[in-house]
Amino acid sequence: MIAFLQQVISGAAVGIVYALVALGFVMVHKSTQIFNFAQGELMMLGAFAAYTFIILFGLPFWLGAILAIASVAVFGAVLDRLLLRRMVGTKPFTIFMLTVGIGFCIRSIVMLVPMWGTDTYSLPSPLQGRIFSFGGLIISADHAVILATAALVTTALFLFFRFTRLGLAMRAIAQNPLAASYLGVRVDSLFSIVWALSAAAAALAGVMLAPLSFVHADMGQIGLKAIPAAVLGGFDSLPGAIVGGMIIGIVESLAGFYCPEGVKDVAAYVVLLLVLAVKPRGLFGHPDVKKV
Amino acid sequence: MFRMPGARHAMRLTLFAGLACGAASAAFAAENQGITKDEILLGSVLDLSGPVASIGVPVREGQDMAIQAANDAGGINGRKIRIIYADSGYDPKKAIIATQKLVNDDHVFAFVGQVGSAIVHVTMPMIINNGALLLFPNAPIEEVYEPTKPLAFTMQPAFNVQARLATAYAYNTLGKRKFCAFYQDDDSGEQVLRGINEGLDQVGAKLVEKASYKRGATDFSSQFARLKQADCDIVMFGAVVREAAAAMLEKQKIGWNVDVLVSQPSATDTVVRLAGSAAEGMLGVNQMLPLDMIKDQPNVVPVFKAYAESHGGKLPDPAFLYGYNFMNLFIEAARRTGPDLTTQNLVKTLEQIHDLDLNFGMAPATFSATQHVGSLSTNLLKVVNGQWTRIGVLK
Repeated sequence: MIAFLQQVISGAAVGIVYALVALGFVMVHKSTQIFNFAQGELMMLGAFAAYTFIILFGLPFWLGAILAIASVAVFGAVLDRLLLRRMVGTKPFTIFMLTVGIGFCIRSIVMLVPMWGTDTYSLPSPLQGRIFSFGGLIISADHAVILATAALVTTALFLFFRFTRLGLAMRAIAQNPLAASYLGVRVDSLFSIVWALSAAAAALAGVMLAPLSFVHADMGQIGLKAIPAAVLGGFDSLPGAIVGGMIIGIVESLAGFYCPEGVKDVAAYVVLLLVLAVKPRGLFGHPDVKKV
Repeated sequence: MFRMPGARHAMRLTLFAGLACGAASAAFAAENQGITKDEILLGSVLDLSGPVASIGVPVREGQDMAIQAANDAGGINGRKIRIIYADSGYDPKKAIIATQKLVNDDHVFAFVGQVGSAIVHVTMPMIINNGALLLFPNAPIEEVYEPTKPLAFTMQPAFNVQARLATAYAYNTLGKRKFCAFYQDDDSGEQVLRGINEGLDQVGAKLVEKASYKRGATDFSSQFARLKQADCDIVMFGAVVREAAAAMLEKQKIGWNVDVLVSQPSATDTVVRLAGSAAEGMLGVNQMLPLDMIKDQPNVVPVFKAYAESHGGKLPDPAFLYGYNFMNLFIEAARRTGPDLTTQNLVKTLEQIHDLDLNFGMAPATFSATQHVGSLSTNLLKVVNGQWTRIGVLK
């Protein structure tokens, strides 16, 4: 039983990282119908920004993390204003390829920055190495913080979307941008805010992942794991992205422990296929209804 | 037009004869190319931008520094060295095209330090079958030296050879009996696993448990939970830098004090830097000594200093040693061959090399007519007080 819980907790912590990146995917897609393939690279940028503020500039971890998230959020908004807004009206595939290209560019530029480059860096959290032990069950402080932060962030987002004007406006443009703009909603500025929030979510994932798996230019590949998480949750559902990520993480962890060698790597995708067979739009997806 | 009845047949015969002669001479047309009165032309296909750029780039830096030093000292018997690099991006197709160009258009004398097992696997035939030399590639695969090929020489035995030696050491000297393996689920990890199994077969033992991970994985809690449950007394790693360090952190987190013996890619300074205190006591095997162990040697200091001056004060990456040492091995062999530098003369010189120690962190090299792999031994290392220390040599 202890072993089972152990794997569930570890899996959930890793799953949160997938979930945050998936959240970013879903936020952008829901509002702008763009699939941002560079989401993983934004996460990597967040980790490098945190490394720069905390290790290179010597700031306290919490301050450095917040600055890192804020700066990547600004970067996301700038990406929208400079590049993506001009693509409104072009074919979705074109925009998708643009985001793929943006991802490659971010990775290459990171490798060229003298202080970053192709090396791997350690970014220890303040609680690194500390563990909580509950009668045989070991939870690392890092994992505990990840789970707690995720709970906070999810609650904050829920309150934001449900109870603030800005959140309401974002839900409106997600549903019908044209109607929203007729009703006076500033759709353009809101798109930038969506991109900023999505980049912030990715950066937060990067900050949480860095102490566990170090900071390096290949981190963005986790973004590929986040896609099944988003699909599993239903590609247009924010809570779905969180749940999807946690399921992927937990399933992988349990499969790695209980199943024969090699099953771990396909387990999450098998689960995804099973869920989609029963619920084709994902766990929380809504069927598209077009009024004729 | 009227032709004699036998003319067409004769024409064909002449054509075939001509082609055959041409082919026969073309087969070794590349021998002795690339050598002029003033210059030796070398080639090297590296990964400078792809998944193993972290090895390709430092290898190139090491090679260039060795060449620079030799040229500054007047060259080899009056000839300066020039090298043409090509970036494979670790794509075999690109590597083949680049290699063809280097052999047929640029007419290089030898390929030094070619990077990547998969790359060397596909390009070796076209190099040596055309009479060019394949020298000291960065590819720990058996086919380069087994069976012996006249124009191929290497300093890197296959990964499984080292793993076999390490396993034998753990069994015989450390007295370990319950072996577990933690390895990357790809070619290099599988090679280590193979070596571990070979080593265990030799002593009549078997692996108790094994756990793999995919390259780029970030969570190893389930693997280590499973290994811990199997109650191993040693875990053999077939992992690469980042994952090895993260795995050591995981092992520390779950409070499991088992011995760990890592393979060459992880027996580097970087792993110790990333894993911190979790790396204490870690064992490893590596043909090259970690930088920390050699950086204060009198002959090493000026080289690292020159490197630091152009690289923001940093120490080179461990892979630098491969480039530097392998190129210097070529330079020394070419020097010993003398002014009459030809393909066959260089081969003769190489085959006579015995216990050549460049004193730069690399094991001494010994070649013969029947052994074209320069060293089958490896250093046995242990992390003591946060630093790699050599505790023995495994043969």
